[in-house]
Amino acid sequence: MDVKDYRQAYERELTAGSSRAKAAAPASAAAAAPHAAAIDEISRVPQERDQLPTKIPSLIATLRDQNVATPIRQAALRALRAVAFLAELFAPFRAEFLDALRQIAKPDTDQQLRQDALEILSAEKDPYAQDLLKKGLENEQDSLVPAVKALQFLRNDDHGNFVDIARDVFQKAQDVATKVAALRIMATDAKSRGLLEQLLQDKTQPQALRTLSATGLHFLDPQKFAEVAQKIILDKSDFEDIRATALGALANAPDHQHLFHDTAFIDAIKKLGSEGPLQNLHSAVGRFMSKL
Amino acid sequence: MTVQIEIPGTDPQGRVFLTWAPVRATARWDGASTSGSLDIVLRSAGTGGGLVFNNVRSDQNLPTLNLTLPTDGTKVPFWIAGEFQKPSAAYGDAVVQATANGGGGVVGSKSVMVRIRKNAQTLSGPERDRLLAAVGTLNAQGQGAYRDFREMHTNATTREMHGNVGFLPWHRAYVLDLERALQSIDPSVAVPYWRFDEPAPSLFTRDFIGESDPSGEVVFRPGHALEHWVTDGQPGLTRELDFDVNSPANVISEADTFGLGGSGSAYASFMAMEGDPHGTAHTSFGGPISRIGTAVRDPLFFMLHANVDRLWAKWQWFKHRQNPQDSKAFAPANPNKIGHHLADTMWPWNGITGNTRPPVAPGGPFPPTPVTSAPGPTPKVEDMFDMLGVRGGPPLACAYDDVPFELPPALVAGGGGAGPG
Repeated sequence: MDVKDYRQAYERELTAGSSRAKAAAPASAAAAAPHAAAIDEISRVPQERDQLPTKIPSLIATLRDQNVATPIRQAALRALRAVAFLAELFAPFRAEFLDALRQIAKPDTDQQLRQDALEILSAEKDPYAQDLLKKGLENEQDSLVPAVKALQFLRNDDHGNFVDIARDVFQKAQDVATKVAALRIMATDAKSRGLLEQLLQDKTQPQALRTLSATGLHFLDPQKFAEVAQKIILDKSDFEDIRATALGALANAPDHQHLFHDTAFIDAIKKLGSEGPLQNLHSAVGRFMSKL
Repeated sequence: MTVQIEIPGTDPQGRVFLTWAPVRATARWDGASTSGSLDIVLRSAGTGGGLVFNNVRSDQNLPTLNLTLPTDGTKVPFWIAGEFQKPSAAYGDAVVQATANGGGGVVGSKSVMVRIRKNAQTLSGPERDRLLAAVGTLNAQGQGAYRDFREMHTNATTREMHGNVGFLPWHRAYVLDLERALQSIDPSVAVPYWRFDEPAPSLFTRDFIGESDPSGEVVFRPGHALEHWVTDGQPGLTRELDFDVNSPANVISEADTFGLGGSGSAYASFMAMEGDPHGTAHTSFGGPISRIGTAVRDPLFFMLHANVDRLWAKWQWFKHRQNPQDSKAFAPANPNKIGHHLADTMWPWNGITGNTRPPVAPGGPFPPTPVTSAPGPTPKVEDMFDMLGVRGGPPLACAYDDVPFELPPALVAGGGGAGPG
């Protein structure tokens, strides 16, 4: 297309598109409807760069105010999270913002708002929030968020020492999602090496746990992982998906260059490429072979 | 073949990568030396990427070009560019072909790639998989160079790139740095953009950037290149969508972004996009991508920022604001905002640490590419303005699928054919 024609077409597109509304979060759309005007006004704040010094305190006050409807407080929190990306413009209000979040991280606050507050605080490695999350994991009656969320939030602190509590949750939890969240915290702790090796090889374990164990074992002990992975990859009685996962891990990391010179292994991998209708495994074979 | 086509920027493997920016190439007779000349026609003969030609540097290029080659081997210059909206999908699917005029056969050809940043939603399966393989290799399960990119963008370094006028130039350099790192693994890769004001259901899948399970953990297809993603010593990704995957994210539209500050808006108004759609795109999720200090843990970051950069590039094109000295193309930084002034070199590529700069500078100088000399090893803010080189300087060797090469009106009025050789 000629560039002048393209310019004219784009001018028309801009004119037509300028009235398009911002998408609303689907889960909250119905509850937010009665407050549409207030929410719309709040949602414009991130664009109003010059007015932020006055708008941000107002948003924080709205967030704190328990008498304000929850959808409006949620909109205020969304706007504050967005303007937090303006870094230094937001910095003068940061302490007050975090204080407001601590205030709403309580049982009587709307669950989503409470969860959002704890996520942000834990990302700031806020000891108060971390303590609340730990207490909730230790005693379900004290939990402010589901265990899986508490574990995800604690993981935000890569120097936090939450391995012991994660191990405890892992042993007690019944649902896979919580076990996965706990194992993610444990996966790079040296004490978990044996557990990861066992989970990876245990065909009765859920795929999500075996996959995560592959990543963790590879991180902690690449050579051991390679040894286990080769057995799994060539084990036709194991599930295709975990075989693909193991091969994908070998293809991706720089620790396994020696395998690319192991003619017996390479020949075996080539044969896998012609095994039955195994799409994921074939795809992983292709990626591994492309590294040769 | 008796006609040799030479295009500058050829890499050591003999590969050529083009964008929409015209490049001055040459054709020469390489057959037996006889008296006289040979008339040839250049045309695009590939199965994917399209090519256009001209005798002068222009934004009105032609599908074919007649050249007369002296048979003594003298090089004859011409201009070649990717045909706008006909990008390549793989290396070699764009071909410049020379045929002898008057119905003669093919006397020369060269395979190239029109390497363009595309909408992630529209990538073909092979394009997607090459990209992911390169990203996975760069991460190398936490041991690769992705670590440097992660360390560049943290709470401790935020002064260098957020909250001021250098936001857009710094992130343009950052995305380009990553793109060049990916291209060192697979040169056919370009960073796609996540068009966050449109639905992108193909992007948030197990085959692409991952599907979020009900708890927000990102799940990939077994064997996927990002399945063993590790950053900060932690495996995996958390990303919870706060919008329906078949809807746009919670951002203003492209049209509204262009409308920031009104129809005659200058950079000072346009930069409000740092809050919305940029900030709101980040906060359309729960998880690391929703916060400055951890956003780069999620590789979606670079597709999000490619779109932020695309919006700036498109705004620059639409309003002819590629000249950093134009008062509407940029806005002055406060005097104490080191790294945000036009003539400031940007951290970390300048290697400057301490004082007002962060204590370390990960990653080293800006990586070179055979394709262009821009932006150089220690780019300044002002070096990031003219992506396609419309003002005559070297282009950055990247381009978006919906931002064309168009000469500035002043250059057209003054004769666009006088561009650099």
